[in-house]
Amino acid sequence: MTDTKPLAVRARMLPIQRLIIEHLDPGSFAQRLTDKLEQAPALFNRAPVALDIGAVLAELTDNSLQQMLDHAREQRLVVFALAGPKDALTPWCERFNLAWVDDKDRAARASKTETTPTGLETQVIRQPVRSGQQIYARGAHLLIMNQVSSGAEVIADGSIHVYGALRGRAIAGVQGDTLAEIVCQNLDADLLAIAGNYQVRDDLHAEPNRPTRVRLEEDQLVIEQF
Amino acid sequence: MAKIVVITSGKGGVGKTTSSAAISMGLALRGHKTVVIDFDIGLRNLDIIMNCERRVVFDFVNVIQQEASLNQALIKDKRCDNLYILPASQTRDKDALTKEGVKKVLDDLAEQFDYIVCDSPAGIEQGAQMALYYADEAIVVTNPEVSSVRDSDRILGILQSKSYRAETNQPPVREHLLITRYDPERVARGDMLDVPDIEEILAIPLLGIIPESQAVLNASNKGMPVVLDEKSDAGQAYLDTVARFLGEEKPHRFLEAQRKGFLKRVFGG
Repeated sequence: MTDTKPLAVRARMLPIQRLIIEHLDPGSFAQRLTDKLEQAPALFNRAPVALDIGAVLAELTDNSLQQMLDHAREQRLVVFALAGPKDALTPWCERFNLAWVDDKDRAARASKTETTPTGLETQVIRQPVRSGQQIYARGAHLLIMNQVSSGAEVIADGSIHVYGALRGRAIAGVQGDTLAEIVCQNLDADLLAIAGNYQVRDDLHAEPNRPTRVRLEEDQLVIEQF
Repeated sequence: MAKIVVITSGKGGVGKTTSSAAISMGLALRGHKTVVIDFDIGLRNLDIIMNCERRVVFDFVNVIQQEASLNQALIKDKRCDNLYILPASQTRDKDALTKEGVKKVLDDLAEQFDYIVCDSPAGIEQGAQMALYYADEAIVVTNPEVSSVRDSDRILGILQSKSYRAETNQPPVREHLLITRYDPERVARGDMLDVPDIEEILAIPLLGIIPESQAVLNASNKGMPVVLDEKSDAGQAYLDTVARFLGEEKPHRFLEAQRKGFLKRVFGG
């Protein structure tokens, strides 16, 4: 008997770079990849990446996929998944020992490139959010005109504003929007997260029960109290 | 129009059945024709507190499955003509309840009664959801401690999202907070949550506060709803609660710790 646990599981939401493959020429893929990486080396260095091969699925061969994987891995990308239609991709994922991810972030991605994040719609909740309830504002900011109980979870692609006590978990910018914020009238949260950076209650350097604004600065949550 | 009132809490052991018995008896004593239904299929207790366990022939599940008529299953209380009990089945489980079956029984009861009080089982599964599904009003029973308050919060969420009124976009279920087993001394020592804390967390109107009382245990051992013990603090608190439920204004009592008298302090008490 030892006291140390052999295994513990922690879940974390992290932004995934999705490389969308539009045609299957290995030469041009390698060239475009190199160009992209030169633009933002820090962003892609050892970054978790999914290859979106939905568009080229018809002509895809084991050989061409292997070449793309090799190219990407030479450039220090960590390709761990394929993105696209799940049923069609499952055999490929199994053969190449890769995971599968959804490609459904398109709407959010498109709105982000065409408009600023403040252009998101706002989903408004007027009743209290009770323990065990989960609210996700997909592609929107979330405005709660009531309290969020301990054990409840409020999630938004954009920012979260709570005009009441925030006692549950608040997860803003869940698709990776680092400009998202969490603002509440009365902070007593179990967990705060913005774009995958989170802090649990015990780590929060904040005084409870005060109006609070939380934002992200260089991957750190910055907590401002009023 | 009959009003359907669910007594619920999420957590077990907080006093749902005691409160169901006391409140339904209280309503009946005030002249309202009242029936109390035990939804705790498989773990029935209401019949014991109402002292009718030896008079159960048919039960709620028999009525739902049309093995008996409603009037065969209803048990008339011996102490108050306005009160009837629909006992739970002890031999089935909670899957015997269906939305359609429960609706039929409630519709039939609504023709005869002013108030239909549903005593919910603990938990948030099928049985508890059936008990609250058709409710017009909910009395959420909470003890002054953190886990009970959180479970009540969970049940309030289910009332808002999974009740018939919520699913059909009708005005929401009216929610009332009933704090039971309130011990002013332990609150004063900081061992228990105080009333403002609970009100703030749950954010629903306070209907009543029932003090922790020996009278509750004595009454349930005797098979007597505690409101019949009019001298007891808990009995009076339940009567106040019923009066408030019917729209009267009453101040909350039994909130202060009793000062111990000289003799009690010397000899212990």
